[in-house]
Order: sequence, then C-alpha cells, then structure tokens
Amino acid sequence: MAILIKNATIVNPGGKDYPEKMDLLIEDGEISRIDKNITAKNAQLLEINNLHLSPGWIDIGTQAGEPGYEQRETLETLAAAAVKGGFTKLVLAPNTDPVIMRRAEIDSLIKKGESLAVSILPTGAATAECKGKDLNEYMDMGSSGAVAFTDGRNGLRDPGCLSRCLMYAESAGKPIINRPLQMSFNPFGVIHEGKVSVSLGLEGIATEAEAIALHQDLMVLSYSGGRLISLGISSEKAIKTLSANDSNHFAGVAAMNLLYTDDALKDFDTAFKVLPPLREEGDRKALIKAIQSGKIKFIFSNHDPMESELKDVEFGAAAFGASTLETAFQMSWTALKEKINLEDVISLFTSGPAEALGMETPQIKEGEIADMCFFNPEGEEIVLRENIHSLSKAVPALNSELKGKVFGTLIGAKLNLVH
Amino acid sequence: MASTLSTKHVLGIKHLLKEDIELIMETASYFKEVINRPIKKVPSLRDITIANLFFENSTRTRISFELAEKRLSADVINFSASASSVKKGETLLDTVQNILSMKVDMVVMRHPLQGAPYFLAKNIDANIVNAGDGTHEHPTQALLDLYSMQEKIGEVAGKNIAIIGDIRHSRVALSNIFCLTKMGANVRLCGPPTLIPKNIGSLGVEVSNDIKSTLEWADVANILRIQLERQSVKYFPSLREYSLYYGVNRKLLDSLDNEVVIMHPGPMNRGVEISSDVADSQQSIILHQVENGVAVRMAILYLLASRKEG
Repeated sequence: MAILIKNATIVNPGGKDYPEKMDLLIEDGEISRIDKNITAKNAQLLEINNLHLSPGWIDIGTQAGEPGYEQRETLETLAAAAVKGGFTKLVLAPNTDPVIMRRAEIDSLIKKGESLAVSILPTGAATAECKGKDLNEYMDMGSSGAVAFTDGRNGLRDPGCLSRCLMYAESAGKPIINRPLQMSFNPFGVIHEGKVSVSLGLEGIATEAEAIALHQDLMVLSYSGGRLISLGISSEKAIKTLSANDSNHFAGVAAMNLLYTDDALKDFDTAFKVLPPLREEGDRKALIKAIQSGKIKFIFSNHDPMESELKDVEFGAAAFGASTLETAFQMSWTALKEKINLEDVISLFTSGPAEALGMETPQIKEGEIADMCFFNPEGEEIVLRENIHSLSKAVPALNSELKGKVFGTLIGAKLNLVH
Repeated sequence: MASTLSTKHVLGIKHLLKEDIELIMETASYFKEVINRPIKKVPSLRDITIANLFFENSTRTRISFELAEKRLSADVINFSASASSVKKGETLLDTVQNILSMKVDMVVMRHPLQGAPYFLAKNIDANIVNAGDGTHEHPTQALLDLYSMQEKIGEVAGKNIAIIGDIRHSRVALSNIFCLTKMGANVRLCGPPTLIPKNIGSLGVEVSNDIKSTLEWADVANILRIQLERQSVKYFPSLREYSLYYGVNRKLLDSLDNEVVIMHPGPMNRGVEISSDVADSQQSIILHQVENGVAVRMAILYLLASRKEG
C-alpha cells in the first residue's frame, strides 16, 4: 500500500536541500515523489504536527541479548526500542552466547532481522570468542553480510593482534571497531577517577586509561593501515590525540557522555554505571567541541541492556551497561540543541556513522528505497519507565525531561510508529 | 543548636550538616554520663526493634552497636552473613525485606560494597545506619573519633589532624576527612603514594609522604590499619618496609618536640603501623575511642528514633 507523508520538514545531511515543507509519496517501499501538495487515493496518510524526517538513524555497536541473553533483550524488544529511538539500522556487537564469529551466525541474524522493524547489520567477532588472540574468518563473514569486525565490549588491547585484525579486515574491505580503554591501568575502576570517585570511596578509571589506549590504537593503525572505528571517546585527554582529517579513523561518542557527568553517580545510581565512564564537565564540553571541530564523527547509543538482577543491586555488584537506544537522540539533542544546528546533529546519526562504516551516505531522494525516521525536534518527553520498550529498565534519564520526540520509522513499505 | 537530625538515615558523614554533628556530640556526652552510672540502662528505645546486619566480619563495631542498643532498651536481632542465606545466593534486598517483614524499625548495616546502604535506603522504609560500606564510609567511627578528639584537645577547629596509613582502602579515613573538614580542622594524610587516592586533595586535605614532618605538624595522629585483606594487587613491597618507613614507634615519637595524641580505629596490626609501646602509652586514647563508641552510637540511634516519633 502507498504511504503519503504530509507537510514534512526534510532534514537531509549530505543530500539535497529542501528549504520548504514537502509531501512524500511512498509506493512499494520506494520514495516515488517528493513535492508540494501531493494527493494520492487509497494511500495511508501520515500527518503529524511539526513533522520532521531524515534518513533513518544508524547505531554502531548496539548490544543485543539474543542469542544467549534473552532476559536482557530479545531481537524483538531491541527492534521496538530502535523504533522508539528513531533507528533503522543497528550495527550489532558480537558479544552474545554463542559469540557471533562464524558465517552461520551472521546468516542467522540477518534472516531473523528480515521480519523485524529494524535492519540488522551484524558485526563478526574480530578474534575467536572475543578473546583477543586468533583471527576469525572475515572474508566468509563479510561475504555473508558482516559490516565490521570487533571484539565489542572486550576491546582489542594487544597491539600485535589489533595490527593483524586491521590488515586482514582491510583485505575483506571492512573496518575494525575498537573500544579505547586500557582497563589494566585501573583494574578495579568502576567510575571516572576524580573528585566523585574519591568521595564515594570507589576506585576510578583515569582519563589516561582511555588516552593511552587510543594512542596505541592510532599508532597501530598508522603502521598497519586499514580502517578503524574508535567507539566511546569520553575524555578531553583522548580528544587531543584525534585529528579531524583522518580518512581511515572514525571516532564516536556515546550519547550519554554528551549530557551527563560523574555528578550523576553521587548517590550510587547504577543506571549511570557504564563504560566508557561518565567524566567531568570539562570533558563533556570538550566532547561537544570535538563534534563541532569534526574530530568526532558520529554519536552512538552505547546500548548495553542488563537484567534487573544485575542493575537493581548494590553499586559494587552492578554490571556496567545501560539501556539507551530509545533516548540516544534525545540525550544528544538535549545536550547539543543550543550549540549545533539540527542538520549537523542529525548527520551524527546518519552520514557520520555511514561514512565510518564505508557505506554510501543515506539520503532522502526520489527513487530510493524508503529508510527514514520521523521526529519533532521541538517536542519534549519525560522518560517514563512504563514507556520503555527495552527489556532493560536501567535507563539513565528516567523521569527526566529530554528534548525532541521520535514518532517512528519507515523501512521500505514497513511503517513503524511508536505506540 | 538543632534538636533533631536533618536526615532520616546516617549513610555517611557527607550528608550530615555541621549542626547534626554538634547535636550528636552533645547527645553523646549525655549518654556517656549515663553509661558510667551504676544503672546503665535507659528506656529510650523501648518497643523499637533494631536489626544489626553484618555482611562482613566485625567484632568491635558489632558489639559496640549491640551494647548501645541494649543500653537504650531496644529489641535487637543480629544477622551475620556467614550464618545466613546470603551464601545461598539471596540478594541483599530479599534478605533485608525478609527481616523487615518481621517489623524492624531500624537497620544497622555493614557491607563489603560501597553504596550498599544507599541501595537499601532507596528500597526500604526503616532508618538505616551505615556501619561501614566497603571503602566508602564508616560514619559512626568518624563521629566517635571526633568525640574522642574533642574530649582530649577540645574543639578541633584550627587543630592539625594527621591520618596515617592505608588511605586508599579506608572507609575510616574518608569519613574522618568529611567529618574533620566540616568541623574546621586542618587535615593532612600521610602514607606511601600508592595508598593515597590520586584526587583526594579535592576533598580539602593536604597530602604528605613523610611521616616525621607530618607528626611534627600534628596535634592528633589517627593511625589506620593496613588492610591487607582489601589489596588484590601489591601497593607496597612488604610489611617490613612499611613498618620501617611508615610505622609509628616510640623512637619516632621521642624524636619529636611535640606530643601527639595517638588514635587507632582498630583492630591494630601491632608492630606494623603502630608499635605496642605507642599503642599502650599515655599518649594513646585508643581505649577511650572504644568506650566513646558506645555513647556516640547510643546518641545516633536515639536521635533517629526520636526523629521518627516527632
């Protein structure tokens, strides 16, 4: 059935500029017309006050629970959360059980994704069982649809191994995704090392633990070549090692780190116990500046859902990880609204991650398969537990008001509206 | 002076106002007089049930609380982790809710994890007294330390207090820092650099690695226990070297021109951080600390209960 979208402001970073509100006609999952005052008989009508649309948002490194940790997140609940968050493409981390490290597992995820309200772009584990030693079959997984290789939350911290991964992945035409954090620097660290950690009697994670790791990764990259995506830059110290002009290095920031600091942990709130940790106000401001200067290329949700048995417990016993897919854009927009224009913020969810992954810039364009997100940047929403679609309710922004509101997504002919 | 505490719980010194601390000190003075009477018991907490939940080993704190509760005529139940269902995998919340369903009014809890009493405070209704949470706070110890200092040297404002030893793993140190800085004392920490957290200066204290000059500066030295049980990586090479360079012994004290009041929260590693001839000397007020502990804890429990009634 055709879908007629009325009076939409089109936010189209990297694509054609539409200065005025437009109507869009979607037929057979394709954008058949973009024009003013389109009429179409028998088309499903989408007309929402102050409707904005952009290419569908892409999230790099989303953690799913399926297979193996279905109590945390099934692919269905993850897809519902993605719709609520405005995402149409999720680049899944491989840290499941079994670890995603063979062609069969990539095939299986892609097949399951076909019936979901979100496109699944799997990554394969960079090394066997994400243990940082032996390379997996990148060619085979790549030909099956793996978009990148990574050890996910484990991180590749052996420089020799990272070097081999980068070189081999380059031959498969795919990037390596790594998390720059040298945990052995502060092996017992649970939050950012600073005034808050000291006043809570908690071991801290120094910003040096991140800067050292990023430095090492960049040194390895310049030796090996290839493409590297650094997931989770959180500190001013690490930003200093970044360049805006790298053609083969792409740094991303977690949405949460743009809005919150370690002040949020003062009462031991486990929803803020995440990696990379929330840092200080100076770091937060430096992250925003790094976006403005082009050193940071994309925002990711850092969605790492955990069951309540691992979060509604004493702080020291709580796992790292928070449920953030649904609020990633809103947290970012709340933090950036006054500083960066809407199109540039949206680019951090669309052309930014696409470029990092080596994909074409997604665009709103006649003749393209529809892949878009509907939202209202002027909207506001109080984040309520009962509205969370993710199985994990460890949501950092719970009960607070965030800027922006997402209405849903359209993928081909599949219209997914937020309930 | 305030007549009630500003908080429902005593989770840490961090959340107490200076007025709260002064009120506790004054109330403790009254109870110290009470426990030195021939009849040491008062009926203040009759019909109040207090659960002492100790998820970590403790001898003196547990006994001190229990004595304080019994002197106030509270009904007391004791729970310790080794004899409990915690080992069977029950969560802290379940354990505590089970105990609370038996109509408990107050919980005194020691727990190995920082923040555990905050978690409880969010989830249950009883008043909570933190009897030590990991390496975070041990508020009642800091209050009894303050009481003991004041007894010996008067108001601490403007006085020099040294805290010596394993600051990194010490909840006593952190609570003492919050308490003493709130009361206007000058606080200096001394120990090997690896045992002092990097950003501790942000709490308004000085840091030194030289014990002699620290003791020369100090009116009071609170010597902390080396917490070997909390160290899973080596922060210093040996107890021998530690006691040679950071241990407080007679010879060191005799080399000073000033007389420093010696404190220790216990249990002591005699011959490591403190030598016996210092611990047992006239300069030491270690046993006064223990006695004052009961009076200070009586004051805290009494004030929390009267707040509840009010």
